Amino acid sequence: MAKEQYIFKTQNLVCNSCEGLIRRAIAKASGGNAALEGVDFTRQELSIMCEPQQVSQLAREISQAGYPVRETINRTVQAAKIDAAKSQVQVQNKPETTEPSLVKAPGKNSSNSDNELEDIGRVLAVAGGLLNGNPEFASERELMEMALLSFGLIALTTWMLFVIAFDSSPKLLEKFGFFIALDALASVASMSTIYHFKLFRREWSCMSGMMIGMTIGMGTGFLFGALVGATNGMFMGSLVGMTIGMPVGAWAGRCCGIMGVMEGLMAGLMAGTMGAMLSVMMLDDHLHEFLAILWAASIGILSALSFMMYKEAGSLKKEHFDVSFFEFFMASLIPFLVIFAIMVFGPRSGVL
Amino acid sequence: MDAKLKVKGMHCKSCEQILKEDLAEIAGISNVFADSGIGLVSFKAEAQEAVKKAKEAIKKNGYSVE
Repeated sequence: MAKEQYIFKTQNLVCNSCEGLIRRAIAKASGGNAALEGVDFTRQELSIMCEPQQVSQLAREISQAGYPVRETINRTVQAAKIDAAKSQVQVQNKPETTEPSLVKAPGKNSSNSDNELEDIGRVLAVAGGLLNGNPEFASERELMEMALLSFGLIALTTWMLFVIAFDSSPKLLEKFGFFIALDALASVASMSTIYHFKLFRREWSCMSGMMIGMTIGMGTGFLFGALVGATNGMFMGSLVGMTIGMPVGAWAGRCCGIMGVMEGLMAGLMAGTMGAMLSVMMLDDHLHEFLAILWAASIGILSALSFMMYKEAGSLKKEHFDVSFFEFFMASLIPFLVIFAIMVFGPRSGVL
Repeated sequence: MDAKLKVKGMHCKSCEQILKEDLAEIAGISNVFADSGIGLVSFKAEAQEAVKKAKEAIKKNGYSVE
């Protein structure tokens, strides 16, 4: 049977000789199986490791040695109960002030709920707050406005390119128009999530860091891999998807060390190749519809990641929001132009 | 022979008890008596060798013998 720690409350403990006598009493009663771990002369307590069935015998021997035992306490069980009680108290007393207010279900104090409808309500409340100009989300709103404006400017840039560089070629528009729009969406959506993450400037838990690395790696890898796969074939699509997804995922995941980096790398690798593969497989099977669904799902997941970061860290601090619109626009424009160039001028697989 | 030893460092009954038990286990020693108040340990010894072993046992317990 496993030994447990017991506290024997006694009296007459005076000096080291008392300890010596008690050790002998314990050895005699237990055959050397039990052990005296410590003596507290102030509290008149003995700490003994023994099996539960030995307690009464030990108490008798120690008492006969001149140290009457008044009470025995199972410290192992007591400690387990205290830990359980502490955990319960921590859950109940979780300070509400550290929770972002809109994460709680409307009208309720608890921030944890098993009710899925309440979870959806919380998400909608946050989205509503973002759209309605709630001051809590001032920085997020500014980031969102930058994203929308960037998308508009990229569209304008594309139109200018189309008119000036491509002489308004209808073939170009017919062949690549849809994909160019997806390119703009992917670039802006990816940068929005990346900047949202970047602006938090905090230490993330390992679990959160891994999720961030994985989601950003997977999101970017999937989007650009699928896009280039649709226009240039599986090889180019996989190459582009991996080249973007893996380093971006690793960079995002590095916040929690090697595990986050590995998550980001693996996610970028898998998504980059998978995105290209899916596009090629669906070339003759509702490709445009599939890509529209994939874009909606991916942007939804990237948005969910933003919600997760908000839930863990609260809203962006104003003093941390130091990105200019020019920086954000250029960060979105550059990958857009690179992918645009690959789509239009890059090598293609035999299947296309 | 009767042996009487002046022992320094005994504080309490426990000290007396521990020395009594240790000395009683030595072959050739009987009738052990210890008094922490006056610092005295006395016993009957069959030979000088037993007295020597008694002194060693007292010192081993952390007490000094005069």
